[in-house]
Amino acid sequence: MSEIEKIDGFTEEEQLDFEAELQEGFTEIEERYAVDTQQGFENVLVMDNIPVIDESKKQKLIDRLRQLFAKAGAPIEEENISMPWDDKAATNKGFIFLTYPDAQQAENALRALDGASFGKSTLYVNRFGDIERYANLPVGEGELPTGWREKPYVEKDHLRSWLGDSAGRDQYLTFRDQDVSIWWNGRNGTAEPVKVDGKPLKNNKWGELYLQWSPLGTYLSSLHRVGVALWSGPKLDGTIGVNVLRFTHPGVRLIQFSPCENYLVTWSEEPLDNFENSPNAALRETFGPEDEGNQFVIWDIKAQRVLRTFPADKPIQGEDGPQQVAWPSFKWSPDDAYIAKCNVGTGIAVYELPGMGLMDKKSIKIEGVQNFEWCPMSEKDFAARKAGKGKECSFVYWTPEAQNQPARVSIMSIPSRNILRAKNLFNVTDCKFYWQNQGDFLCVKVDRHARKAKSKKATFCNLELFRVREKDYPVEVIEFKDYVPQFAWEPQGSRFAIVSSNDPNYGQGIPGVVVKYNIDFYQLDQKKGDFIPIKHLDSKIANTLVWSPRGRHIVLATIGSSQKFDVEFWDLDFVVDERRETSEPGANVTMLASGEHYGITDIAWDPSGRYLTTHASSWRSSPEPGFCIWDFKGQQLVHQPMDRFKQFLWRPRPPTLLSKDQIKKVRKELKEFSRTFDEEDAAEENRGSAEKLAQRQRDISEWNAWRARNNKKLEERRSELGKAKKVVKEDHKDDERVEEIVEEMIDETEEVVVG
Amino acid sequence: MAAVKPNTNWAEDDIEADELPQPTETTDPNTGITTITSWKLDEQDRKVKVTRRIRRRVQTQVVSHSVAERKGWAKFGLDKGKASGPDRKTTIIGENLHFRIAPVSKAEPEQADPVASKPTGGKAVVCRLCQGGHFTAKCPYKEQLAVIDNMNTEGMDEEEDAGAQGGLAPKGASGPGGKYVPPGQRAGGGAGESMFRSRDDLPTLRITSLSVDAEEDDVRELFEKFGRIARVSVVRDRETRQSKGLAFVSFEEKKHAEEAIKKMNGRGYDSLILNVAWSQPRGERA
Amino acid sequence: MKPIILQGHERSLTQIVFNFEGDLLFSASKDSVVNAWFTSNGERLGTFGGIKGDGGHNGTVWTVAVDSQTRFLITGAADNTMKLWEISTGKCLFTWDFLTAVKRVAWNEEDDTILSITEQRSGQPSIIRIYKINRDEPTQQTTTPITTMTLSGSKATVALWTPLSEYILTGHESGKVAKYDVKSGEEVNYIDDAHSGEITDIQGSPDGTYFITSSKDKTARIFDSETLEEMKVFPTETPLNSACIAPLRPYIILGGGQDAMSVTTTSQRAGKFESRFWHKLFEEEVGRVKGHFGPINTLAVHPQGKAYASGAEDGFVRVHWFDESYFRSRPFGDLEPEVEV
Repeated sequence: MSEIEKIDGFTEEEQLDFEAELQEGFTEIEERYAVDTQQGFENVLVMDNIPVIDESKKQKLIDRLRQLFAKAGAPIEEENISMPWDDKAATNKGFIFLTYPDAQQAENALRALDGASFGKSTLYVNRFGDIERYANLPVGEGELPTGWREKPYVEKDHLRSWLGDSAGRDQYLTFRDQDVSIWWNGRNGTAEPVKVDGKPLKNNKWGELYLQWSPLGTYLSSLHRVGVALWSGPKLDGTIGVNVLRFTHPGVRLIQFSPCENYLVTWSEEPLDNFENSPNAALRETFGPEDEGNQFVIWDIKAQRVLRTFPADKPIQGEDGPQQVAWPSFKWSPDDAYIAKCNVGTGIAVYELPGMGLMDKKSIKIEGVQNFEWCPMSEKDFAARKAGKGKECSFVYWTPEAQNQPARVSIMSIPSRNILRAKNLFNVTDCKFYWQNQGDFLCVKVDRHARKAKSKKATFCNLELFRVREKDYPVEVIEFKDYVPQFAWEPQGSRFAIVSSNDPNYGQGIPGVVVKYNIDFYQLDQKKGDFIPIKHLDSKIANTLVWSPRGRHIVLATIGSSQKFDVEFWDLDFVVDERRETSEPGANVTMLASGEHYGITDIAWDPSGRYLTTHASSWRSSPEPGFCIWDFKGQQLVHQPMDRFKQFLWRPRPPTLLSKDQIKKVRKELKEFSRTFDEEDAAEENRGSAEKLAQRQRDISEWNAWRARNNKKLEERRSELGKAKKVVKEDHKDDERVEEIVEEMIDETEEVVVG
Repeated sequence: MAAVKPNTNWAEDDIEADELPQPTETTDPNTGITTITSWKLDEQDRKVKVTRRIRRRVQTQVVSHSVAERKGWAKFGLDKGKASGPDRKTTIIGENLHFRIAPVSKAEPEQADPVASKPTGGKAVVCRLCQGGHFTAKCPYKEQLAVIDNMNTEGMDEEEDAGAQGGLAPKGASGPGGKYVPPGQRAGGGAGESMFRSRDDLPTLRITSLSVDAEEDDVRELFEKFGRIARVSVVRDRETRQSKGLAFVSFEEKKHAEEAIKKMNGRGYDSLILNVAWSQPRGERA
Repeated sequence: MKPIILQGHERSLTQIVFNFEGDLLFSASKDSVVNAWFTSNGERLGTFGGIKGDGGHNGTVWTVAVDSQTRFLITGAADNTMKLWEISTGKCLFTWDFLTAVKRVAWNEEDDTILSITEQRSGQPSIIRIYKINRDEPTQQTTTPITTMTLSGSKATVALWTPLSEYILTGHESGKVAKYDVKSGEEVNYIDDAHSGEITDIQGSPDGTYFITSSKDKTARIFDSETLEEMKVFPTETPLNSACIAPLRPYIILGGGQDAMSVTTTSQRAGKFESRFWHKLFEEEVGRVKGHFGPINTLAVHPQGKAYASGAEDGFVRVHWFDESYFRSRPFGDLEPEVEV
């Protein structure tokens, strides 16, 4: 103010007035002529996360950017790119302005370029107007923008609380008629219903269609007419949106979780309608017009929103019978980073999660591709990833014979799309993929037909065994002259079991005829690196094999036969006499026990591998629905026939959180703990029936009461006589240290002396 | 057993006390370990040399004054003038007993013998963990069932297996003990068939001295005429699948089984004389 | 747990007792000697008798009792005498003479009175005598009992003081259990058929309000000291020679004679005679400890429940210190009565 020169002829007062007026004026003028930054700039975009470079690279950068824009369908002239420059640092500022001829093109460009990757970074694009608008939003500290409602914080329950059971029990679910119950599986099969606030956990809503646990056991999903509900937390119930998550998908029939429980796929028989004007708010809010006609929906579980929907596959032309939906159609990568779908004959579409955009913006074209499977990741892989040394996800796929190409099996790495290994095959009818659950091995079971066979019906098969952890993925081929209906890797192990049959009656389905199978066990020979057979079992009736999730134990069962219902328990490492461990590998394959479950339709191990359930579901028209629980040695613990029994599901467990060292420590200290566990177990067993328990409690209270009475009487009498009670001196004031010599025996050995 | 046998030990005769040499004792000055060699007779009246190593050490305790005082009393009577410390002739530290408080069922032998880890003659071997026909120490499910019922627990608690993963395996404990149980009699052995136990409570016969050519159907034919047969099984060698000359037949009715024994025991079949008897559950078999 | 084997007798054991603090154990035997042992390491402190002419007994020592201050010892023997000893020196301070063998002696709570039972034989009835003990001048003792109870019926085999020294509880050959007033000598209560066989031992609970009896009728029973009401029964398969109540944990220990079962099986020489642990409240067996080569004649438990000892026909005494698992044991789940020390 003092800078303004005094204008002659005016008093100070007047001068001050002038200045004030001028200021006012300025503001007025400013306002009047201010460029509305929010208007008139609809054709300008701001793009940032541009690499910061110096003068020398400036031109190159601009050229590259223009190339990118052109490719994306939003070309721009160089003069319309404005790159602010930081003179002091002699670099650009990391963002640029793009001026398009009109707003429409700008919008176009925005959509095409936002999120585009440029080299290593991703470019972000915003409307120029938006930036100003957001910058000017009157949001005070801690205030929410208008229209937002503050939701009170609801503390989520511990989603994994069931793992904290002190007895280490697993849970399982039984679905019978309309009732669903969840039980704790105690030792010896004693079942205790899972209680919430003292009452058994039950929910009428669960029994509508069917149920499924999520892969790590966190959620229980129930299917309903209107959609899928996910229940979690210790009560498996609670506030909607917190413990109960709802996914509206009318007519849903099939669901599948992603391995890390982040996403969910649902499939409905009915294609989605256009719900824009639906009276049902849930439908309206969930789906948009672009979802019309689709049958697959991909959800983000925690956010409870739709990520994307897909139309159904063209139905597979089967030779016989009704068309079936191949499920799972979408396959998740083991780390929940990708979801892929095989478009039979054309290629594999890999989508990145959570954006659900095609990886690299296009699907992988593989002509003739039939099927693919992701390679699982083991604990080690996840740990390596965390340490930054992990490898990429990969999957295996196969293509059948084409005009000038033999059939081929290939392993491709994602996202780099490098082919890690490919192998040609001949005379292939079909291929099935079996990954070992740690991702160590892959078996491709190739059903082959005789060359020049007319019908191309598979008559024998090969097993191509890839050792994925070794350099160049060496492959070993094992040929079989028989048909191999089942193959299974040992979880966490390096062995596998197969069921093969050379019985001419196989597959005929002739009633009354019992088909004979052979079962073989193979093991990876550490020295040679190949798989060698270790055990062959002839003429078995079992047609199903299920490994225990911990490996080592396997159950062979006959399922689907109308006459035989055997269940056999085998141990591949049965060692009785430790000194003889060095004998050849197959020697320890022993059958522990065999049992029978009339009407068996399914087998399931509990997640710890200690118990096995065989159950018979009325959905598969079993003659005797119900279930049995066995321990891993083959002793039947529970036999529970129940009519209208539908489902038995163990609740899965997430992988252990203990580090390797901790696991070692637990093993070492197991000795001490086992003693206490044993005593607890014995105590539990001997607790006996509830009756006995009640009796014992009565005994105790009677005893205590009697003793109390007596003590009182004694005390009274004592004081009457004026006598003091003799006590061992509790005060250790005059304690002393004494030494004494103790003898201990180190050992004692005996030997028989002749003569 | 005691180093010196008082001749009123009523479990032994006096006569034998003369035949055995006298025990000897040596102390190694470096380690302070005393080795006592003594002699005794075992069940089969064979001379057994018992070598025991003992160490003396000083133990400190905090006790009340009166107790401490008594510790300081001079020895009297027969011990007058004797040095402090336990006299080996009168005091012996016994072997570790595994004493566990748990409700005892009348049939089971619950506690481990302090002396014998050898099988007691005449008692069948039952694994305490899984009730298989093997020693608990050799139970293949030790780790899973995780029990430390030491059959031979000498020094077990002192020796810690450093870093042993399945640190439950008794180191060397199976050494001296352990009757060899042939594979055919171990739990689960035998050609994929559940053996040695009749199905449920069906009356089951054991047929031995059976021709190795006889198959299940042959055996069934042989015994069908006595009554309805619930099940027949021929015991086969695991690898070669050859019959071991042993079979089990379970009848529906007990009297049919009895009839079968009567008529078939001692009968000739394929140049061998059959031996037919009741099959016994493992626990009772001698 | 590792037993400490005490080998100081040439013949079978008749009675063993712990002193009040539990650091000493006294053992009486048919070899006429009484031994004193340190329980912590098994070291023998000394012997009472055993040297010719030292004033020891001349026959089976049937019974031994130690006062709560661990100063004096009373013994009764088949040589018809009862002796008072000074524990610290092993010297015999006084001898009482009788017409028949002394089968049982016991100190009262205040250490100033003792009871003695003399045997019934050839014209002599079974007599219980109560003597006052002169602690200040131990060599001067009165030979006149303050009370004499001459039993007309079945002879008394064992006896026990009640707390506050007002009464004596007795066990008889017939299986009868009786209660006598100390001052008057009157039988104030009795149960004729408490047992169906001779009562072989009687021991009290830590606070004395109930007691346990063992009998040749193969049972042990717990009775209320006040009312003589039978509270618990423990049936076994062998005649029992001794029983005691463990403090701290709700267990009792029983020991006895030949197991009918074990005779037939093996000819093993390993000690197969067992002390048996039962749950006091639930009347169920919970454990056995083997080791003796002959029937167990006497059992005693550390007054704080930390150890127990057994003496048998084989002349051995075995002292067992309980380990952690014993104290932690919960054989019937968490049902536990209040703890008694």
